[in-house]
Amino acid sequence: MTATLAAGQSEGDRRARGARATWALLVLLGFAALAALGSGASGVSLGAVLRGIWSGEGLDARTQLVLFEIRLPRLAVGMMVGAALAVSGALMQGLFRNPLADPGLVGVGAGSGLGAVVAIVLGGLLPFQTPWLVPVAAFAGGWCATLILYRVATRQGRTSVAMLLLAGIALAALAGAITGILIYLADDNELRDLTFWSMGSLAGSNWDKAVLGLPFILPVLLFAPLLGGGLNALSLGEAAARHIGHPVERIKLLSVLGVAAAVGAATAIAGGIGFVGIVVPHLLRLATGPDHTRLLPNAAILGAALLVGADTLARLAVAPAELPIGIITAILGAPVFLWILLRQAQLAEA
Amino acid sequence: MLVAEGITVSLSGRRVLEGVDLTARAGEVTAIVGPNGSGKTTLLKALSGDLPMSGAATLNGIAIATAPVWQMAALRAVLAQQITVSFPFTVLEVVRLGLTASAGRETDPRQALARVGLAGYEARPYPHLSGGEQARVHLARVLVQLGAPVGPDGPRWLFLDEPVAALDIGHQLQVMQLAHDFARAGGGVLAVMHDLNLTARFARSVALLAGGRLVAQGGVDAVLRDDTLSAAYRCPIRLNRAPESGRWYLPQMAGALDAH
Repeated sequence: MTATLAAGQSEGDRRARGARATWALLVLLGFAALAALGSGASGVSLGAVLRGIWSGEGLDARTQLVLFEIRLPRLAVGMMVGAALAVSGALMQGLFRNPLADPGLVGVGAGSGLGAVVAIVLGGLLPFQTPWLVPVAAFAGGWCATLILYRVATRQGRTSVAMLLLAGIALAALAGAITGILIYLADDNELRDLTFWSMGSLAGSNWDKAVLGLPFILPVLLFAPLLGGGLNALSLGEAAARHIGHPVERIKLLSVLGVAAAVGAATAIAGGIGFVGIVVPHLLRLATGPDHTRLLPNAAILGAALLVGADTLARLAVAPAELPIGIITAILGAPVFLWILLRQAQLAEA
Repeated sequence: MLVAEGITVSLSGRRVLEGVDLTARAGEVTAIVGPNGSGKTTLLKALSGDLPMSGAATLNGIAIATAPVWQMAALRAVLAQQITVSFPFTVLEVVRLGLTASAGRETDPRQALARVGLAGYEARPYPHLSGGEQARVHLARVLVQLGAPVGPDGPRWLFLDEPVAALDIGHQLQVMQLAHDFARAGGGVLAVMHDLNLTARFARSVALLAGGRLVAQGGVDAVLRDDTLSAAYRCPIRLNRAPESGRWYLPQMAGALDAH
């Protein structure tokens, strides 16, 4: 770490370091993916899978089922959700010019939470039943909340970021209160569903969910880095970013819509998973600096790797049962985050 | 050429600028002076496109209020009074932010840092610099944004809001000399100034504001006069001529010294 720091400081230009980090993170993601594919309650090991392919005998039916219908879709959903949360965190932090900002600030968390609770508690009153009710309601709730916030905070074509923040707090409080009423009305089964939903899980992952999330998450992952230059300039303030020639209002709108799409979809298919959106960008800023053109793609890769790793732990820790993944990200993420903060403070003193 | 006619700006229902006419030519430094609250910064912000205004303002013939941001960014750079950088960029990274809108421009960020006296500062974390050093980093950034003082589309413009406010006397002279050189090379400089001595030394044209109105505009000799300044600043001001250069200067401490 010290050696790489010194090498970078002779230049003051950390772009090359950011590009090297991309490759290192891709390798990390590769290992996380292999570990995820090779472990699980069924006992099918990575070695068995690789041997089957290598020897040309193919895979037996059970191994194929475990691999293609359980582990691969779960890996795909985990990567998508992790990347979506981390990129959204980095977008929000750039937009709000604050390293502690997270997607909750534009109401998408509160909105999709409320949507999910409404679906879980009141879904039984509908004339039809569908497993898609909760994800669709969560996604719609997140979008509604974000659009309301954006309208409230926009005057004469200019969006006030401070207003977005304050209105977001008000909206989150309101959504929390309505959620509280619904929880009060819920029966024991619904309460259990609610609890598990709020802790997040990839347990129900299948190809349908992966395909559902893809059109909302993939475009955000691909196009977010194009906002990087504008977000860099925004760190000088909105006026200065405009003076340099960046279309500030468009950057704000695209960031907010991107976060609503990505986090809305991630929450809809995996529930509420905390901490990824704050920890991943923070780690990357420490390692390669705050340049968003690098931070955003790197956050996607590290977010995917971290969530897949956390999910593997969640599946193995109490196998054959599994822990909600939100618990793992918090149990591992919080101490690591504290350690980084302490270490940063020590380095600053030294 | 910058031509502004009847610039009027209201902030929270209060008229801050009232019908200000201003002309600034490329090739010279034009200073905007006046007491606190006279509307100097508001005028510069309005001409930078930051505030809704009524009246007409054009820069090289392009209407400031309606031109797209990228077009204005290619034409003029703005150095605001106070800028906070919200993430721990290095000095070089902050200067490179000026490049984004004008890729391919001729100024190398490292050269720009050397010109503001910050060679060797490239890798330093920006938050660890002193206020004066940070101000010069941003000056390097706006120089990088503009590249040369004159482009194929005409002169380029530096809008400076109190560019020497955070600087010691040596760096004040260095920064004003940079602005002066930029103008000498054909660029335009519009600078809000507090220091009337530096204004007399480096500006050729001066606009004097008081109470949101233009009180006087013209050459240094025509505007920096005992009676005009005393009326605008509401305190007795007496100018002297420096014996060696013949330039006007203000013995600012004279009143205080006389009292002893």
